[in-house]
Amino acid sequence: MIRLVRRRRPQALLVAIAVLTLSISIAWFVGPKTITRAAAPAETYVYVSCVTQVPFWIDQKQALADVGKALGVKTSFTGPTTADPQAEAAALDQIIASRPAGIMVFPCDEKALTPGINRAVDAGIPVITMIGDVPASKRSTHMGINNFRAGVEGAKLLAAAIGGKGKVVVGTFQAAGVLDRMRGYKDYLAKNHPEIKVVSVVDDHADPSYAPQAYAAAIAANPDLAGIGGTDGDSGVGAARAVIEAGKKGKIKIVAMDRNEDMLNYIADGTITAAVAQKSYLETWLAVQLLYALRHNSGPGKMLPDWRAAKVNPLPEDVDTGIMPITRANVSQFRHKR
Amino acid sequence: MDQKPSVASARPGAPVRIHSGMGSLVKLLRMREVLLFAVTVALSLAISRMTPYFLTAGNLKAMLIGMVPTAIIAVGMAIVLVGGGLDLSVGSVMALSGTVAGLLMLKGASIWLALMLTLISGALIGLANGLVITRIRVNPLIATLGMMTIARGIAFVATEGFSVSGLPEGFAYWGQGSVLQVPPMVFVMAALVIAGDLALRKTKVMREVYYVGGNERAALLSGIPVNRVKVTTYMISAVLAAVAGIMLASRLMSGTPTAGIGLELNVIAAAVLGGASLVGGEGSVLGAFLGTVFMTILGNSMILLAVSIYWQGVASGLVLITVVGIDMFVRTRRGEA
Amino acid sequence: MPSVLLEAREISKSFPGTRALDRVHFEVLPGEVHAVVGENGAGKTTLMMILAGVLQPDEGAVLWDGAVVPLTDSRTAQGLGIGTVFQELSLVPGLSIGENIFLTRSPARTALGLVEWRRVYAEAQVALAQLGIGVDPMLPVSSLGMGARQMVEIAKALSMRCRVLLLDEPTSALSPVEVDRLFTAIRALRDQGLGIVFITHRIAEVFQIADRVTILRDGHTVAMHEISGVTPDQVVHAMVGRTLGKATRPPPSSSTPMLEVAGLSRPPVLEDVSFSLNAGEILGVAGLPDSGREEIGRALFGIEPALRGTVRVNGHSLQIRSPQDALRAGIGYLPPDRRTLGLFLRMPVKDNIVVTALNQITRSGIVDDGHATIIAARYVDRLQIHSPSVSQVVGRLSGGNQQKVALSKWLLRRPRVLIVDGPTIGVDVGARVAIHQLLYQLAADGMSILLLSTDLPELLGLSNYIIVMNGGRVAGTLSGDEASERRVMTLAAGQPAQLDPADV
Repeated sequence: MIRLVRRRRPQALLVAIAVLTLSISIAWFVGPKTITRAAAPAETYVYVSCVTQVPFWIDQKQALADVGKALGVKTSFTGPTTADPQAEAAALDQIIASRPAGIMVFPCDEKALTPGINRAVDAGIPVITMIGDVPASKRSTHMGINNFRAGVEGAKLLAAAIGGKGKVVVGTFQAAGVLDRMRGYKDYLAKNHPEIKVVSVVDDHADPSYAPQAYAAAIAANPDLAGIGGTDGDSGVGAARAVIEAGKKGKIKIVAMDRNEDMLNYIADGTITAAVAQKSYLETWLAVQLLYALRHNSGPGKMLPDWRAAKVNPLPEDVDTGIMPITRANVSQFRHKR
Repeated sequence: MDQKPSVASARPGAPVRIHSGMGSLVKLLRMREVLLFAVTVALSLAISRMTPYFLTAGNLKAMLIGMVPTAIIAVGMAIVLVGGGLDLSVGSVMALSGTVAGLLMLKGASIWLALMLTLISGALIGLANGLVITRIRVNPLIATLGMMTIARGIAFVATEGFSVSGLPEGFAYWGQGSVLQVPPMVFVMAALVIAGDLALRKTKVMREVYYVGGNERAALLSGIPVNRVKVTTYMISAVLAAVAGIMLASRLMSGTPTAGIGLELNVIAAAVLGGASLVGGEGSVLGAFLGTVFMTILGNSMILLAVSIYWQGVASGLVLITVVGIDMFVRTRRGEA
Repeated sequence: MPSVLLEAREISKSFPGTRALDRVHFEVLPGEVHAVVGENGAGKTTLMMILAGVLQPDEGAVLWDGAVVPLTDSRTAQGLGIGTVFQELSLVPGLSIGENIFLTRSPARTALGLVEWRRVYAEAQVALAQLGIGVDPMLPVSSLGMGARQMVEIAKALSMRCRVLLLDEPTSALSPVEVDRLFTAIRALRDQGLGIVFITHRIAEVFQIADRVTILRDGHTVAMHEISGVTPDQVVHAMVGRTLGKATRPPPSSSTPMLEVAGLSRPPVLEDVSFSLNAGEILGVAGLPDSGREEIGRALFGIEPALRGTVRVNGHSLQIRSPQDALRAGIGYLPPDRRTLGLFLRMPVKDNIVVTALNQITRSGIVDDGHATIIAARYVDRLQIHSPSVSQVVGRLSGGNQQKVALSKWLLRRPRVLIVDGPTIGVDVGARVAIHQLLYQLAADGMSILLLSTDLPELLGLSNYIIVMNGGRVAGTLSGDEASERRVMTLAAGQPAQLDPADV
């Protein structure tokens, strides 16, 4: 039996250390800003979410940082990078164990997170659900509009853009939130615009390298397509590229969502008519303020000396923050300062 | 070497027939590629019957442009697979390269300098992969899986999740320009596919890759520099992923850190469809390219036919298994499996 | 007249492109050892697989105790009492001997469904005792050498209470001592009334152990003889249809030392090994497993480099730390296990042959396949390699032809020193002679050959000198003339302290 002998082990170790150091130093030089601090025993407010790496959460993270500084508390943003409800539930449990002062949660899946939310509240940690509700749980407030509503708003803009009639395609990908937006689109159009037909739903995999060709195929399949409704920023960019490459800029109207930086360019030059941006910064800022008030019995928390004993909810049940339509006219205001 | 090899004279007990030029192994490869080509044509005909929009200029052009990054990466993946390895980091390297190129340009580098540095960074990543696999002896699956998360992680840290836009106008040439009605990046893809296929078939350096993938220990005992060959394959794969990232960034005019998640598995499937074996020693660039074409057509057809998005995954998986299954069946009957 | 236990009557079997067996007759009586011989491709293994129930014949029938039985699968055959030991051992090295013996059957279970390990090991012990082996059945198989593993395989078959035992090339990987032990066990089993079918390449063994011999050629039963009524030459003649030459020693050559090894050490497997090999000489290296015989080859080719000692090739002193170093120094190596180490089974013959000399067929970085084809054809012709074409995938050739291909790549490279380890293991008689003649020719043309082998006739026939390894050291050096099987075995098997060259 032949064993091919491994030689020069120490050198191999050096290579490993070099690779590791290289990657860590790149991360350090390029972007120290986003290394979030772990939840410390000090007063901390945690935002638990899923699909955490998409640009959509930039505003929430900024709000967390700003309000944390303003109030003198620690904040953090966490959750799985994929649309994995189980992973989010696990993250939530771990956060509960670190005893934060308050938790905000964007529920990837209502049912998966109900037990966790209840556990948090029972442990004395108030919970606010963000842009998606878990009504069956003991959460204090639902903040923001839900994804279905966002889809409805998008549909309104799209219907207006194409003049109330014609064929449209809705683009989305396989994740609970955006699928809700897609349903919002379809529901609104079906109920309110019988002359608009949603000919198909396109799955763009949330992948900027694939999205353009998905929309291009939809455009090819429907030569008289009037509009495309996107359910996030990447679908906006993908649809824009497809429309431009098919030479149909202006002929096919596009409505998208969120406020991705690269999508804004297409709004500025008119390829995309409008985008539905949620007031993410406001929602997060408000949520932390409310949780802080509960914790310190200050501001709105002053209503009752002990709201737990009173078995009432001192916070609003539902805060509808609405949307901001981004159009050519106001797009310059939406650029992020970096 | 002008004379053709002749058929040996009949000698008792030693019949030897020599086929000129094309040996039966090459014939085998051709067979797999021919089969794939035939299936692709059949699929295209079937789809064009079901929808009149498939064979339109707009649709064909969209597919051609769309598959450029995947096809370029497939060239590199074919080479890695032939060498008996696996590179799961290509999607992440593509995304990272797009963002690196974009960031460099934003920081003031000229386009060519930015591209040069991006390609170098790709080569370094490939070198890292290769060294971890050959010197530290980490299994390629694990090593490149690790690089996959590291590379994408770096892309996110560097961009804080933003896409990198505001790139210089000249950079749009590759992905948005027009040469003979298509963006130049289509020609870049064609050049890489052709060059890659010829190199893998004909050059000595690439022939060594077949030996290493065919039987690594025998290759070592025959004097082939196994480690050097492997590192080379990973470097080629990463550099090609970087090229793909640059082409994509040019098309979108933004460097997107979220691009290509899961791309590696599609590319591996395309290469295997094209004849590559997951144990190494077999495969071709042309086959991987045809595999990419096939899968692109398949994906396109499902959108054209408005197949429900929930069923699309199931459908692609089934078609893949069927095509590979037919090939295995044919091979077993011929006694080669 | 004892009744026939197992009989193959008019068995035919075809595979795509070839007729492996054509109306073959074969029978086994209880209490006999019946050898089956034939060249590769003659159909021996196919016949055995049909008798074992692994393959089904296209025509003809298998009879057990005089009655036709359809052997639908190997379980049926086992159930009847046909035990099989294939050439590729089916042991799991990580498990113990006892567990391996019961590998394919559910061992005794208690009422709760737990395995009764005590009974398992007790029965294993019985099976091993039947073979005359006293090893502890709880030891892992990985701790055993090849010979012992072979015995465990046989014990496995025996434990199923078989009445016929089919052995496919059982001695191919065994040393002479292990072969003796095996034969003793086989004789014991024969005396107990088992019918033993013994498939082998080695004619000498047939005459040592068998009572009858059946010769197959090209899928036909050519002859069946009582051993007492036939000579080895007649058997060989029946196998190949012609008379073969014998292995001869190359003539004494120039006295230019080509390979000089001094103090080569890699404790504990090699200790202070020194020898010298002239150009055009064949130096045989004999030795039992773990004596250092194989390790010399691996050390000199840089696979498991020596830690101390000097090596000089053609007068130049060298450090050999890798196969590439060895190749650059002009050393070639034909490994013992050609399938995993020596060949690219999925690649064609021509690619296998040119692998060591890619530079020869490359111009400006491009491989010239036409040139490769011509080169390969030359060797196919010279070595009489039976292959439909040079583009035939090597994995489909017979063992002998594969070995010829493996050898060809070293002929092409023309090293100064060629180390061959077990060149004729698993190779049929015809190819074996061809390889011997080839080695002779190479030496006569000036190549130095280091022949590592357990095959004593091969060593004695070909070597100018023989060194015998024992415990990692050179126990003795014998010239070709003074060497004999007894002398070599004494040096190889004796305790180092007891050896006195004067006694040998």
